[in-house]
Amino acid sequence: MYFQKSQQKHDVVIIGSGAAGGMAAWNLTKLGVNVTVLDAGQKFDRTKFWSHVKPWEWRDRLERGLRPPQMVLDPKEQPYETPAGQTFDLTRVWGRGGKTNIWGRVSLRYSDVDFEGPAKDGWEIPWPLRYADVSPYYDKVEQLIGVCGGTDDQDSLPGSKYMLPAASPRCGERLMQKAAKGIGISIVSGRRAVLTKEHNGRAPCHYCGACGKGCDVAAFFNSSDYLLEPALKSGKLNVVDNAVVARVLVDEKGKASGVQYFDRNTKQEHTIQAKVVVMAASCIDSTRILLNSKSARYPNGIANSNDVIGRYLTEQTRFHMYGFLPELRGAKAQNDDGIGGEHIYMPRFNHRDGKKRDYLRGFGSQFWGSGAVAEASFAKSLPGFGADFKKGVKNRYPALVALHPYGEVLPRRDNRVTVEGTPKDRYGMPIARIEFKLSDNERKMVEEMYDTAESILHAAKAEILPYKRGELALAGSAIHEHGTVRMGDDPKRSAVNSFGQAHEVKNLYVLDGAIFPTATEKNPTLTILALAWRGSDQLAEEFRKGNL
Amino acid sequence: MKTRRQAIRSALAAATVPLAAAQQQHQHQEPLSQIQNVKKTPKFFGADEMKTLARVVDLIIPRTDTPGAADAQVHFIIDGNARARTSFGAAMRSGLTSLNGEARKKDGKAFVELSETEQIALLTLFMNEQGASRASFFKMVKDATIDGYYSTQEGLKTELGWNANTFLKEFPGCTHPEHQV
Repeated sequence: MYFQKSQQKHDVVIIGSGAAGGMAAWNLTKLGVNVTVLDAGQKFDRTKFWSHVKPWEWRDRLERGLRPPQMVLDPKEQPYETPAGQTFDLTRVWGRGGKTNIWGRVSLRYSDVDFEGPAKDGWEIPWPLRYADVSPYYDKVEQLIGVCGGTDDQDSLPGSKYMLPAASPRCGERLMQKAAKGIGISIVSGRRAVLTKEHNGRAPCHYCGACGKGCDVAAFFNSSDYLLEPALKSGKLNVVDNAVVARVLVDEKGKASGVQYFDRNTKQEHTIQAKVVVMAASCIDSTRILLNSKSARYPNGIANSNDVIGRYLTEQTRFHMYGFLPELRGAKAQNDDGIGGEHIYMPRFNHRDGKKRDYLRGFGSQFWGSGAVAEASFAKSLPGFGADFKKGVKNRYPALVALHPYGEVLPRRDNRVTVEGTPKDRYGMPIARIEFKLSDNERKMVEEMYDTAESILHAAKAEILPYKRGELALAGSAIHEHGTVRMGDDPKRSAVNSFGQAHEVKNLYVLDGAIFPTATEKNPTLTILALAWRGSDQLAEEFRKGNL
Repeated sequence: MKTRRQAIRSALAAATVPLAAAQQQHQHQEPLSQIQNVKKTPKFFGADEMKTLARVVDLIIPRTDTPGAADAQVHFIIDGNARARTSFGAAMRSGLTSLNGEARKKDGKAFVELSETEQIALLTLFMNEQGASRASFFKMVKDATIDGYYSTQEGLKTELGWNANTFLKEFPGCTHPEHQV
């Protein structure tokens, strides 16, 4: 194979350009450091998004052989495996901005209930951070990207003075807030990275509800427009597209010396030399690359002599419950698109009501899909057929509300990513094997999650759509993978410090969700951004001092 | 030459016009074409199968004061799905055969030749068979009809009144005093 070796020694090479990689690139270039970003895909053309293609036009276009931009990576191109009988629904986006092109945008600050949880209950290692360490970075991130939300903060959901105006709740959301309040459960205003007014010169949301197809005016944060583009203007950033990284290279002193990558289109192999390597390829892919970075010095993968990397994979477990509110039955359907997704949130409450639980950690709830949505799949769960059935669907359609509780999965040593003996990908590198099982702790928590969702719907006098208790969403489908390169103060039990710097390899950083020691019950992107900002501040400082 | 959208975007980038003004000009992508009244041809099912399927989807979601599933060409949507996913197509085909087989048992008439009452009775029979393959066929065709119909203009817009995925300057949310917390 033709082997192209670049002689130039780069300052910092960042692998991946999503929330973590984009933030590191933006912040480091701002601090005067030269950065090269390797992205496994390329820039998505916002003008080609099918943001405003109606469902029937969508089908018409597909029939004509047209396709929207393919953002989600086809697992056929980069497979992963799971043991028989287990599934893990992994979603990856290769391309500038990564998953932030289509993310759910829910932006909840972690609280000390989250950061102190493991230290208090003693399950696995503590976070090396507290809210006070992260809070200044949350402030900065919110000002930079624009997050809308309310002032109805709680101990489990800290707020800030930097919120853009909250999105007004839809009818069904208001009615659920009211019903929940009656039984002592508070449902607050949602916090979302959507611009409800012009922010830093960026166009506000125009409430078309198509965020999941990518926003054609970038009215919600995506790493490509908000971070990479400004960083490119600094002249200090170089982005290499379609660079699929295989491994981190090591020098004779055991330090990271660069990376080896393959061109996604030509399959040509390249190496790039760097003084500092930053992993930001998302939890599973960063982990796979590190485990594949084997050498005489690091037979277990770079920075993994303590066998921590790949283990403690964690996320959140979820289910979906639907109901129909009596006040809205038979009403005229409204345009319920709003900012896409729910405008409300149920913060964790199980830590403060004084009742003892037979499980650790907690859950919150989201409510997306409440109101008149662009489909009626709930009808599949209604009995019968014919004219009365049709009438029943129409009558319930505007009254639909949806509950999606998210419960923290405990980190466990045997929930893990490995590359030993797995098949090779198209570049000859071992693919990831993902082993992931729930434990009794989650099963017990799920019972209370069901009780809570039911009690809210009962309080709202809703007709509950038939469901099977205990039937959970696919593992991985929350798209919040964490834990496999966890941070900690103890170098024996963790892989990186609170700045994402590897304990064993000082010039290797990991900044994506892999470094979170726990998943918490919350969506992680805001915290990934805050920690990547904090970590890259320290990186720049250490780099300037010549410590790397 | 720049398209209108590109022009708006570069105007936004250069901030030579106030954002609000540019926003008002924001045009949503033109529909590729109005759905033309071209005669559709089945791509997976045969003519008789299409006739049966059209009748079945129309029994599940019939024409009332609004169009039904057959009006919305849902049988053609299912036909397209069958071509794209042949395991689904094969299961549908075998279900349609079984439905016609059951119809012919009495006096040799195909499903479409039965009276509406008889057709409904037959579909009900299929629907209520506990755990049997005929019940799973009914569930499959019902689900496909729901997915198809409520994604058409007839089903989603005309029947349910969905009128979204559009440009709004403001989102008022719930304005009913009786719904407030």
